[in-house]
Amino acid sequence: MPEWLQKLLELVKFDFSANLLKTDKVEVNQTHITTAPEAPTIRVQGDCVEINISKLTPEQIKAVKPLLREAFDRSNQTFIASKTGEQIEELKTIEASPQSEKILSSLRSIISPEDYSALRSALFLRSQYAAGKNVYKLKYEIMQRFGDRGRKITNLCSAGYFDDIPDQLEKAKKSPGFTQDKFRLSFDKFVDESAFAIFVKAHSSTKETETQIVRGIKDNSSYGLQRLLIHGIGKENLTKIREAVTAIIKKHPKITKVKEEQVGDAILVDLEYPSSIHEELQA
Amino acid sequence: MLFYMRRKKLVLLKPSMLKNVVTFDPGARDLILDALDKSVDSEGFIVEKQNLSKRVLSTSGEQIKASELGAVKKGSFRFFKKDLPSVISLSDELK
Repeated sequence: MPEWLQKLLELVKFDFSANLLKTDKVEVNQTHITTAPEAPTIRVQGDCVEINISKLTPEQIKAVKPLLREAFDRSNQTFIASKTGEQIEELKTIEASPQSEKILSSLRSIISPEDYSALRSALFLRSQYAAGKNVYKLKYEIMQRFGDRGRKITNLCSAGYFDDIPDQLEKAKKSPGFTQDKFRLSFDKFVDESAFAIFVKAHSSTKETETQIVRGIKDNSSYGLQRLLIHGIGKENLTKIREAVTAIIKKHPKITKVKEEQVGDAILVDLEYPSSIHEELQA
Repeated sequence: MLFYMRRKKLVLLKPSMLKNVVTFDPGARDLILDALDKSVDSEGFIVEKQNLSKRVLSTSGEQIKASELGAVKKGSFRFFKKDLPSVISLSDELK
């Protein structure tokens, strides 16, 4: 036990060893300072000691301050707000999950440190959303720090795009001419252009894919955007997207395929169309 | 698992993931700041107790309100805000 804490326990006349439960450890890793009315002046549980400062006398409070300073200066204790501490523990748990760990470890050395931090934030937000929590504040914090790029990475992450990246990257690494720089460039471009994009889901049918693409064109054209990028990963998606795009262009010749790129099993199709397509699709 | 959380669920007794930390509830924040020779000005910003017009800066380079405080770490004084990107930076430093 650090010296500052021993002094603090002496100050409140607390016999540490006499208050240990069978489940408690002698090693103290954490001290918690509370003002909760229901908490006793001091108690030990596990590797934590909790002190309720609202139950100390003014003289004791006065004596506690230099001890806290000693904890900071000499014992290198970090002072953490309870909620922040909880968030750190949640973050550690989320990042240790197999899915997050796989995504983060595959991209750590490839994307920029800024994008990597934004991605970690986005994965945290996604797990909070999945747990039914309100994520409005988290989204705002990500945008505040990482700007519009952070918002795009968050949206891509929530759409599940990053879930397929580790496998896609592994396949791409086996392709001739693969370099990390090339992959990073295509990642950057993809994030930049994601506002125009849709992502075809792995288990949807060709007909459903067709409907999804037409809906994407309708949505974009209703805001004056004359472009739609279609992304898909996996062999099934390659075929499905090509078939769906061919069928759509056959029905609506005003739509033009300006580009089709394939990297490993990932496909990107770039469609352009005049603004009048909106009325045609509504009909 | 933080002690704070265990207090509500006394059966949970797994060891803390965080080591060498002092956690504090919002009601204890002023005491912590006072112990570190900091104070709070009329607009809620953390300031130096010896120079009340000098607002401290967070690790992200901004003035920081007491209500935004996530943590204080040694290295002179490193004030972390409680927004998610700052929490991630802090988490990395606690490894």
